Amino acid sequence: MSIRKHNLALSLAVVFALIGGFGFQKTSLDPQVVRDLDFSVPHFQDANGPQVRYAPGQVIVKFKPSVSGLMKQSFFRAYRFRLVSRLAALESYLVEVSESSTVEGMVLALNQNPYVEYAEPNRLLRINVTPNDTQFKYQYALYNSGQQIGSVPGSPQGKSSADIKAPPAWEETEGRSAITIAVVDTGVDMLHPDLDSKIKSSGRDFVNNDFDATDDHGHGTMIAGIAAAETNNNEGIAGVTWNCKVLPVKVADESGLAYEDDVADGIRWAVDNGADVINLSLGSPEPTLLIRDAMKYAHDKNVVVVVAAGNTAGPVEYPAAYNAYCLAVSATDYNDLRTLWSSYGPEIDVAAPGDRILSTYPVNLSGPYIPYAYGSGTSFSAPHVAGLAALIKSIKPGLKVEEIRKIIRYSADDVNASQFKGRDDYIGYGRINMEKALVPIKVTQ
Amino acid sequence: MTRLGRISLIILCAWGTALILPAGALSQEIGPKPRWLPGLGLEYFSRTISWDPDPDTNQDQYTSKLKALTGQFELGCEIRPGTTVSLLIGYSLSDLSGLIFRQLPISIDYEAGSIGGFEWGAGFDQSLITFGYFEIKALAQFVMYFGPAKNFEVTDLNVDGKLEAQPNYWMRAQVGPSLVYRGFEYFSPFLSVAFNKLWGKFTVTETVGDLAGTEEKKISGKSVIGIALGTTFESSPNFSLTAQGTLLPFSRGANQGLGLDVGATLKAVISF
Repeated sequence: MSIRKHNLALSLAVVFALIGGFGFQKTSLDPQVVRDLDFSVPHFQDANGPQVRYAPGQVIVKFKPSVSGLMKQSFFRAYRFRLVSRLAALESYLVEVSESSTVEGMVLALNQNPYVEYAEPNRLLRINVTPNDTQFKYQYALYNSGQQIGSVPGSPQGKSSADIKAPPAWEETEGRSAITIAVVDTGVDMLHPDLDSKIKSSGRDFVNNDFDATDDHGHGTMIAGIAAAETNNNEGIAGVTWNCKVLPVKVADESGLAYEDDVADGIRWAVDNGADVINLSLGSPEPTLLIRDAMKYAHDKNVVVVVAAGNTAGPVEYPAAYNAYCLAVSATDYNDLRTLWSSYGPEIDVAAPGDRILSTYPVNLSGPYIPYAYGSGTSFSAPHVAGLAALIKSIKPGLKVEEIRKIIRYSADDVNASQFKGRDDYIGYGRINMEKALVPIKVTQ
Repeated sequence: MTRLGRISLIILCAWGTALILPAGALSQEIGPKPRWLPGLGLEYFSRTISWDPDPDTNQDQYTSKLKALTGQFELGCEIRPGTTVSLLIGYSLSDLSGLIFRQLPISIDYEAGSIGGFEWGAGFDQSLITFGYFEIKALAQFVMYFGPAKNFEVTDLNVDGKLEAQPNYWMRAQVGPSLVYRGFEYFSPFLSVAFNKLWGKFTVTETVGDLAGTEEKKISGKSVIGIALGTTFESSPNFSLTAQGTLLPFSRGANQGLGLDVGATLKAVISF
């Protein structure tokens, strides 16, 4: 430790502990198991259903086998259909209805017709945005089908839809590479195969005072992976954002401790070096005015700061408690329940899954395991929110930081409404919902 | 004065001038009196519109449909044989469903159907050449629709949300030649080809809790050429009925073939 650090410590410096290592464990998947599971990538439908659309004016008609060609011609004339095409192999016809008819009304009428086996609109289907990352099936936070979370026997099972609705949101945007998430943490494994193409630069190391923010702890690499792992690359996990970049900023050492001045410097450096969103998964029970000022600096420069609330089962830690300048995030689990260890208080803005979260782990710290690990803590909730903020910035670049914070709050699901209707001190406005925040809401009559 | 007001005034002045000039000429020389041609019409069209062009390439990114059903009163005046100017007013149900507003704080997919609004415009019809049973005319028409604001609720969020949708205006200008066959006693079929330009603006203002935003959407018709086929039925010298169908082809984009928009008009005119 440098003399400067000693002086700082003597002058009541606050020492931050990373607030995510809680319940931390490496994956127990061995390569053979992973290889076998490659074939079981889940194919799913969006549980809430994408907006159903169809080709305007078009209806598919299948006649009963007894209907002759001549009768079909008469039928088309009677309904004033224009034949678009014959789907010969399926004995069906695609027709265009007259302008005076609606597709819905015509489908209803045709299905009453004794000659018709069935009629339906020419529906528009969307490809399911399901990333092909091999471990995606364990990322209940992004999509929870009620799957088992982990391959080890006895792994817990999630509740269907207790997730942040990532797949439908990815249909709207996968993020822009021009948007950068700064991970102000223990650094990032920049050579990790699921992160290497996502790193904006080698970053800044305020612990060793150089420009190589390589992770020697593991925590920062996990944060980076949750927010922005390489996605749809047939490997590892999916990130909340597929295309946004990661800017590593190392402020915590190999034991996971960070000095207040380094954290404040890290925030300022990230702001000055192109960060659009900053993730801070660290905290202290003591007030940290220097960090508050750094967060205000970020806020004033239109940078969204997302901070983990803490794992103390007590009051929200600092700097999350400075929620005038940040989004304070608590943790839910795979059943959409608040985790009992999550800090709480009036500062909480939203919650995100933080229990048993799978993410990237430094290759050189993984030993015989694959470089992925499960972790629990609000540390791992925050990057879900940081990723969402980056996606919002990607498609709405004109918004102010305050507007982005409100969108995230107002679009959250109030999953504990049965106990605490409306905003509460445990999960704030609720567990974030990427679909509501990003996918256009359909306004009808 | 707003842009719309200025456009309206210009059209009104042009129409007035077209009426006043021949009237002035009439006071100096004996000629045929102007013939008034009031009529009622019904028009429907469905036009593919594009919006939010890619800022880098200026290429269309998104398309949807503008469907309009309009009832019109048209007052024409044959100011001299072969030259008719007309003014029309009407009420139009304009449906801009399919527009997506992504720059609002909470993105909105407008699927709320028609909004009724007033339409008005002016037309010009000039006979150019007659040979045998055929006549070639020049036709021009300009119409403008402006709609009122309509309010909607934005639901399913943690706070109350409201939306005010206003189809500020759409305008259509068409000009081109028409070939009329006058060889039948009561029917005069015609074929017209017209440059047909449609453009407009739709504004949505959103309030979600204490979040607010406004997004203006400029729309533009994809098709620029319309081909109309129709006939005029004249049961007496003082009454005519015109029916017309219009096809408006447009390019869907590189290697994506042609699309086809449609329109139809029915108009009854009496003259005195």
